[in-house]
Parts: sequence; structure tokens; C-alpha cells
Amino acid sequence: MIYRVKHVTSYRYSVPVSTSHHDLHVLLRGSPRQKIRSESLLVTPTPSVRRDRFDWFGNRATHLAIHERHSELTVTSQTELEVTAPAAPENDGGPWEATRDWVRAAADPEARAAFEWVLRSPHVDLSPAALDFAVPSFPPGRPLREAASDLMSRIHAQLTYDQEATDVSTSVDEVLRGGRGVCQDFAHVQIAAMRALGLPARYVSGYLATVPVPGKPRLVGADASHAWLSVCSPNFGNLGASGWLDLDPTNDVVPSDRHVVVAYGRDFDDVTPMRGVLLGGGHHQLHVSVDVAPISSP
Amino acid sequence: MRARDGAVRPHWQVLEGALKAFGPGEMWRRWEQARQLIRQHGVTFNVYGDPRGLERPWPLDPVPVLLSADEFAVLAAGVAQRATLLDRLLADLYGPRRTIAEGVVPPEVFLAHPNLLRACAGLTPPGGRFLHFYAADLTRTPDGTLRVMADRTQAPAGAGYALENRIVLGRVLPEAFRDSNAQRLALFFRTLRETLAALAPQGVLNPRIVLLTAGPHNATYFEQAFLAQYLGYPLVEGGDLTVRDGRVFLKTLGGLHPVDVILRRLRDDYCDPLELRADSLLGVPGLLQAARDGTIAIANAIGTGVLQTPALIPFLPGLCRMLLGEDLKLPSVETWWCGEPAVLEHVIANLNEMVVKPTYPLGPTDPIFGARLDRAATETLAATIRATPSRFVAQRQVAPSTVPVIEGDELRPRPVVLRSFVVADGADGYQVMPGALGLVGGAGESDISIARGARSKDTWVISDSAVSEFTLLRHTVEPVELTRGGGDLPSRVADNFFWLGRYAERAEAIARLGRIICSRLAEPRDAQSLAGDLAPLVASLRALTMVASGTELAALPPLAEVAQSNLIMREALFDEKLSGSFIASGRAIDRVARGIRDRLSMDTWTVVSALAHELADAERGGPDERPIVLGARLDRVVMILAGLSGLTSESMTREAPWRFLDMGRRLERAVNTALMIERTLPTAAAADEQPLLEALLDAADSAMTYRRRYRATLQVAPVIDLLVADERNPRAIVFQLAALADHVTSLPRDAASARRSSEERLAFEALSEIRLVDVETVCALAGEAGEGRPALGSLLGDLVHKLQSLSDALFTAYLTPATISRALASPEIGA
Repeated sequence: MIYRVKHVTSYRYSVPVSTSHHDLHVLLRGSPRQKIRSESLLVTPTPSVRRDRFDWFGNRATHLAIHERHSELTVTSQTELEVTAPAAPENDGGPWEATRDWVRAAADPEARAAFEWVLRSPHVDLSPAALDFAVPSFPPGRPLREAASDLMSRIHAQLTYDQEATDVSTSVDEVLRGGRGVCQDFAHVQIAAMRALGLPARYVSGYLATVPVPGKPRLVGADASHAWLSVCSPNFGNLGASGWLDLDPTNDVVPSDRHVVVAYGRDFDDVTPMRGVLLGGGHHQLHVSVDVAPISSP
Repeated sequence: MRARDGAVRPHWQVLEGALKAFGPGEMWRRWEQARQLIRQHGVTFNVYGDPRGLERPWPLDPVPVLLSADEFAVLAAGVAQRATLLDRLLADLYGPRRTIAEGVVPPEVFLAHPNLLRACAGLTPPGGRFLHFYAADLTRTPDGTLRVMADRTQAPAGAGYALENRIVLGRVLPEAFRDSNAQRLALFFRTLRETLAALAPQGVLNPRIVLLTAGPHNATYFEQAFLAQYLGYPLVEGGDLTVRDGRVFLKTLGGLHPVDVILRRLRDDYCDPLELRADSLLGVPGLLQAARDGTIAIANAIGTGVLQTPALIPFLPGLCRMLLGEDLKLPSVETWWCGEPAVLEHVIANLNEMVVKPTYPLGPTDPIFGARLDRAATETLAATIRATPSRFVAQRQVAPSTVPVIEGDELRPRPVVLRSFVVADGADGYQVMPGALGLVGGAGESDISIARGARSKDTWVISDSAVSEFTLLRHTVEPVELTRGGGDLPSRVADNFFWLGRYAERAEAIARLGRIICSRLAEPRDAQSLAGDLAPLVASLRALTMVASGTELAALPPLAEVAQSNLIMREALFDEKLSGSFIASGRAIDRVARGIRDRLSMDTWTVVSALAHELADAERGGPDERPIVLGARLDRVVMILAGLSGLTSESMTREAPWRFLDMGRRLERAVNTALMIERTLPTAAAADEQPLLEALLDAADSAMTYRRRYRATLQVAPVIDLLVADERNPRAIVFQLAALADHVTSLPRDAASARRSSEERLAFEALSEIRLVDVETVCALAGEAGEGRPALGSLLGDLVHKLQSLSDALFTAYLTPATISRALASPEIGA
């Protein structure tokens, strides 16, 4: 599929901002399954400094400094890219315990690198509640793909999508207690549950194609930034390619070519689309819009 | 000190001889002298959560630890190698992470470390060096080998204390120091300065280097201020710095000045609220990006805190072979990281020989000594470790070797730990301080830290031959350009000087009034006349401090009136909730002085310390202290504060700090005098005027002048002339206004602007108004009886108002406290 993605983030301040610094994760990560054809990043007012870099996880990050007095800030990223569906895991992954033991033994470089994805992280606490939630999906010996998919379905069934219930600082335990949240909460819950079992899981931030497939309902999370997760196992295949199984608990689907990846990390904190520190500003209003439109001509 | 056969080891002989020659009495006397020096220098450390207050005096034992040249050579080679190794390890962790990929260190040790700052990935510091300043805690085990107990890579503390210890001991044991051929520390600090200067981006000839502190509440703030002063760097807080167009600047009275190098004493995760801990208000937004861009050098590099974990120790031999291709020279105390199953079992089976520590010490944590636990407690500990084994490290409990320590009037052997300091040199290597910070614990103790009551010791490295006399205090490293600048004063510092002036003046004014009241109360007199004398004094005191409580005095019978006056005075002095009280002002002096400690001379600091001690004594004395005792105390306070103003007027260069301090003082004095007169005299009944005028003269320290000029005739106009309009009287209002007018014209300002600034306008208006006043007219009584002297009242009322506007204008133009940066809410995903 070829898409044109337009992501607009704007802040309106009640008091003018004299200087601000921002750190962005809005430029898309390229990969064999996601070829960037063109992109642009437009910021108003014009920043004094813009620096692009690759972060710890290989994502693209952007630093901005704005020293012009302003009451409104708009960041618009536009990308044209070609997406192919992720390579499906080569098999069912074998008993889930095998993957857990593989990471724990840390006997090969890939396992050592995967350790990153089993540890607690700023938004993912490996709490007893997360473990309790995971256990019913993971009876001994159950294949990893089946167990992880079952967990995804249970999260989808038991949590209610609710934009008002949580904010960016809500913990996994609070989401489990309240039973409500948005896609980043759904993803965090599954990541916490899998890591509590010792399984490697990472957070993916991205977008969904806006227009539904004919005859199918529109997916939740279109028109905005979306989030899901991936689980890895050497049994799925090479960790550089098919070794990752993507899961979208918000929609209870395995992501296909309708999911566009921006970045991945341990959790939301590693790949926050936009953060900033301001002088001035007072209160602010935030507005985000996302449009992911397929374009016919290749 | 002694070899196994009991003989004194050779390098101890000179000191041993000196100590013997003293005898116990002399040693005791010298110890007292050391304590005195430490108190005078205000050497302190802060203990978090200590209910006894913020600061404790630095504990120093006057008998140094001695190291022979041979011993030091072994130590130096070992810790220098360790510094090199840790530096290479940092480059790997923030770069290719081969050490993890190849399994030389378990992945969890660093990947789970809260101080692994992933935002620093790929950030290459200047010259590729991460670690510029490192410290190792060493102990000598019973087999005689020196071993490392802990590594300090974040922002090692203690080198400044080691230097202070040396300065004190140099004065307590000068003969022994000279005769022992002990090596000096100054070269070490010169290397530090040279290394930092060399870090500046290419092409910068005269780099600006600052010492970044977390602020006065930090445990080792004294040391940071001391080092800043000794090294000649401004001591700055995060709020003093700003990043503009990718460069770091220091915010000063004269505008923004570029900064090239930061000597960092702030924890690395607090350094940038944008990319590191968002909840930190201590950092500088954008600093990390400036470091990435190479426009600022930071020592140590941001991210070095990740090596501060004892879990690293067991893997150092392997890391050393991998990264340096050689064996680790200096062994560590045997250490086990419990994250590996086999290791865990070994630790649990031998808990009684272990000291258990958290893998990631996030705050002050006490190590647990297995040997001190009973069976039940051992089992509980074992269960705790088993629950999350990777979060625990066990270290073999060692009995550190002992050194002689003064206890009572004799020397006793006590266990010692040495903190050795290492600085990067200009080449590729590291230089080790020829000395160390010694820490001694109680008998048999092995958890030794200042926070847990340990004492410190100077450490002498004894040369075989005479040593270089180099000192950083007398010579500068390179010829510097002559400068008389001063525009580079951080705004925060100017702010503190201003308030130091105001609070010192306020405390002095209250103390002066208080001691007059005390001396009246101490006189054996009848209540009637005493009450009459006290009333105007108390009224003045009330005008100064805004004491709220208290009935109208005149309504009371004389005896009750005296008691009530006494009560009001105590309140004005000691009510800490009253922001204008003496005690609140005294504490504020301490607080603001602490914020500019690096800019106060040793003598000035001695005065500030003396005031703090006097206040603490006064509080211990309680509110019921007899007037005569309290009066004597206030006498001392007045003398101390007079000492402070003497020092500031005679020892401070006429630059911005002095101007701000003096403006604070002048403004406060003008306002106080105006308030004292305005609140009392214009409305006073004719019968009360005489004692009131006398009180006003006393409070303004002008009674003597008046008597000399006018003999005994007390009249309103001459008193007002002397206290308000006489330009030769340094206590007169007009004198303060003239000084203020001079100051505001000398402040740094935009030279292009021809307009007078608003602070200039206000100061000149106030000055000319008072200069032009006709004292006789303004003191005249109103036509109607009972209306008092309205012209005087409105003149002074307006003046107070104008001075407040002047203070506001100064704040807007120069002292606006650093606006606090706020984090922007990030958009929620899927919302």
C-alpha cells in the first residue's frame, strides 16, 4: 500500500511563550517493509535550531528550539511511503516458556539484546496485577503465538475504549482496576503482562489507515496517533525480520499493511511524539489531527 | 602505622616523633584548634532528613593517614587503570554495547540501571572522553592488600574536603607536615583546571568554565562552593544557565555570556528536563542537545552515573581484559551480583559473611550486615533477596585496617577507608591525587560514612625527597589578561546580595532597638516611669516588625504595660512566623549567604557563621531569658553585624555584588527609619514626644551626635533634620538616598538607551524631594489641636511608597528570578 500521512500537532497558549525546546518522535522509521518516498516537517514559528538524530532504539528523533515569541505552535509532518504487511512469524513460536528461558539464559547476542524488552520501564511496572492478568492465557506449554493472541483478545474484551478515563501518566495497575483506557493503555497492559512472565515485548507507536476496508468497520485509533506492541522470539524467525509478532489489542487484530510504524521503544515514554519545556505559556490547548490516505498511483 | 612486628613503619616515624613530643595536652590543644578552624571556615555537610537542621560541622581528626611513596605508587597505578577502564566502558555502553552483546557483563546489570540514560546514545563527548573525574573508595584488608570497595563516577564528592582538611592540618601540624616531605595537592587541582580548559570547543582561547551545583540543599554544597572559589569558576545553578541557538549561556546582569565547559556536580539525570527527568527543576532545557552538538563540554559527561553500581565489580576483571587487553591491577573487595542463580545460592549460603547492598542505590541506603542478624532476620533477608535477586549485591565483610585516631586525650586504633581521587590529564591518561580523603569509623565498624557519624582524616603521601612547593592559592596557572569586569554576575547572585544587605540591615535595626529595651528593663525603676520610657521604643519596634498582637499599652496599668512591652519585644525578636522578626531575618541572612557562599570571603563567612551560632544560642536560651542576658546577646549580634558591614564596605571591590548588597542595605535602612518616624511621631501626644524623640535617636544610633550639637534640648525639627535631611549623617534617610542614586546610575544597562531607567528616575525623585525639604515647615503642627504633624507624616509615607516602587523596578530590571520552565503536556496516543 502507498500512503500519504499527514500529522498535525498544534498548541495554543494562553500566555505567549518566549522560548521553548522540544523533542519529537514524528519522523517515520524506515524499514524493509516500510519504504519512505518523501517527507517534510514544517514548524511554525520557524525554529532557531532543528537537529535530527537516531535515538537509542534506532528511531528518528528531532530536537527543536524556538526563540521567537509565540502564542501558537504547529508541527506538521507529511510523509509518503510504501507499506507491506509485516512478515508473518514462520511458526507458532513453540512453548512460550522456551522464549522466556532463551532471554533469561542470555546465551547469545540476540538474547542479550532482547533483555531490553523484558525489564520494567517508566510506564510499565511488572506488577502482581499484570502477572495475574497474564496467567490464564499462558498455561504450560501453550505455543507463544496462540497464548499472546489470546491475551490480546482478552484485553480487547475486558477493557473499554474510553478517551476520558486515562491520561499519559496513568499506570498499568490503574488501567486494570478501572477497566478503561486508550490504545496506549491497551498496549501497556499487554506489554506489562507479557514482561511479567519474562517474555520480551516492545511498544510501537504509529498510525492506522483512516478509511476502512470496504465492508469492514473503521478501526479505532484512526485519525490519531495509534499504538500497539510486538513480541519477539527466536522461534518465530530472525529477529531482524520475521522474529517479531505484532499485536493490536485495541482492535484485536494482527497489524497488516494498514498499520504505519513511527517508532518503537520500551513504552510510550521512549517514543512520545512531542514533548517540550517552555518559558511562559500559561494554559495550553492541544489539537492533534492525523490523516493516512492511500494514494492510487504507485 | 605499625608493622606486624610492632615497630613503627618508616614513613610514620617523623609524625610519630612529633606526636610524642607534644604529649597529650598539646595534641588536645591542637585538636581544639582544628575544630575552631573548621567552624570559622564554615566547613559543613548537609544530611538529608536530619531533624537537627541543615548543616553539620565537618568532622576532622587531626592525625593524618600516611602512605609511603611505594604504597602510593601501587595505589595510583591501580586507580588510574580503573579510571581508564571505566571511561572505555562508558564509551562502549553509549556506543556499540559490545560488552553486553559479547556477554562480558550480564545485560541486566546495565540495561536495568535507572541511570542508563538512553537519551545519550551515540553522544560522543569532546576527545571521546566520558570520565574526567573519578573516585575510588579503598580499604586495606587484613592480608595487607589495598582493595576497591566502591567506584564513584557520577560527580565524585570529597576532593574539596580533602583540600580543606589539608589546609587545616597545614596549620595544626606545620612542622610535621614539612618534615615528613608530604606531597602537595595543588598540582592535582592544576591538572583539573588544565583538563577542563582543554575541553572547550576548538578555537575558544579563554574558555568560560562554570561549576554546576544542585544548590544549597545538596549534601556537599559547602565543598562545591569551596572548590568553585579555589578553582576560580562561577558556582551556578541550573536556573542561571540557558540554551539559546544551540549554545549554553550564563544569565548575568550584563546579559547572556557564553559558557564553554561545565564542571558538573548535579546528578546527570537531573541535567535536562526536556530529555532526561522531566520532573527536575534543577536542570537546563536543551543542555543535552548542546552537548550532542559539541558546543558545550560537560565533565563528567552526562550518563556516567550508570557505572555507579556495585554490581559492576565482579565483571571488572573480564571487562579489563576485553577493553584494555590487560589484567586489572587493583583488586576489589569480593563482590557478588545476585542476578545469576549460582551466585545467588552462594550468597544466601554465606549471608553471615556478607554485606548486602542494593544494586541501584537510588537514595541514601544503609548496607545490611549479615553478621549482625539473628536467624529470623537472616531468613527474612534471604527471602527478600530471592524475590528480586538482581536488585541485590553482596560484598564480603572486611575488617578495614586501622589508623591512630584521637579519642579523649589518647590515640586509639580505628578502621579507615580512603577515597582516592583521579583526574583526566591532558594526554590520554589519568592523574591520581597524592593524598586522599580518609574516613574513620568507630571501633570494629566497617560501614563508614560521614552521614553515619564517621570522622575524616587528611592523607599524606610521604616522599623520599623534598617536594614541590607549588600552590594554586598564590600563583595562577597562566598569565591572564587584566580585567576589572563585573558584568558577568549571575542575576541570581545579585538577587542574593541584595537580600543579604536588606536582611542584615533589618536584623541590626531590630537588635539595636531590642537591646535598648532590654537595658531599660534591667534598670531598677518604678513601673510608672519605666512604662513611659518603653512605650515609644515598643512603638518603633512595632513599626519595624509589624508585630500584630498586643493591647493598646496606654490602656493598661503600668506594671502590666511593662510586661506587655516585654512580650512584644520577645515576639518581634523570636516569632519565626513573623516574616519581619529578628529571628526570621537572621535565618534569611544564613540562607541567602549560603546561596552566594563561593563569593563571600572566608572572613565574611566567619561572621555569618558567628551570627548563626548566636541565633542558635538565643533559641536555646528560650523566650524567658532575663533582659540583662538577652541584652548582652543582642550586643554581640550588633557587633557581629557591624563586623559584616565593615567587611563589606572595606573588603569588597566596588563591583556589582557590592552595589547590590549596599542597595539592599540602603533601601532597608531608609524604609526602616521612615517607618519608625512616620508610624509614631506625627500623631504622638505632646507629652509623649520627649521619650519618643530620644528612642528614635537611640534606634538610629544618632543620640551622641544630637547631644553634641544641641546639648540636652530635644525638639522635633532638629531631630528630624539629623535623622532625615542631614547628608553628613550616615544614618540619615537622605544619606541612603544619595547612595542609592549613585548605585542605580552605575548599574550595567543598555548603553544605547539615552533615557533614564525607571529605577534612576525613582531614586532621583526621592533624593531631590528630601534634599529640598524645609525641615521647620514639614515638622510644623497642624492648625487644629490633636492633628499632630500631618506634613511630616505624608512626606515620609510617600517616601516609603516610592522606595517600594524603586525596589520593584530593580527587580524587574535586574533581579527577576529565573522564570521556571514548565513541561508541555504530551499528546496522548490513540486519543
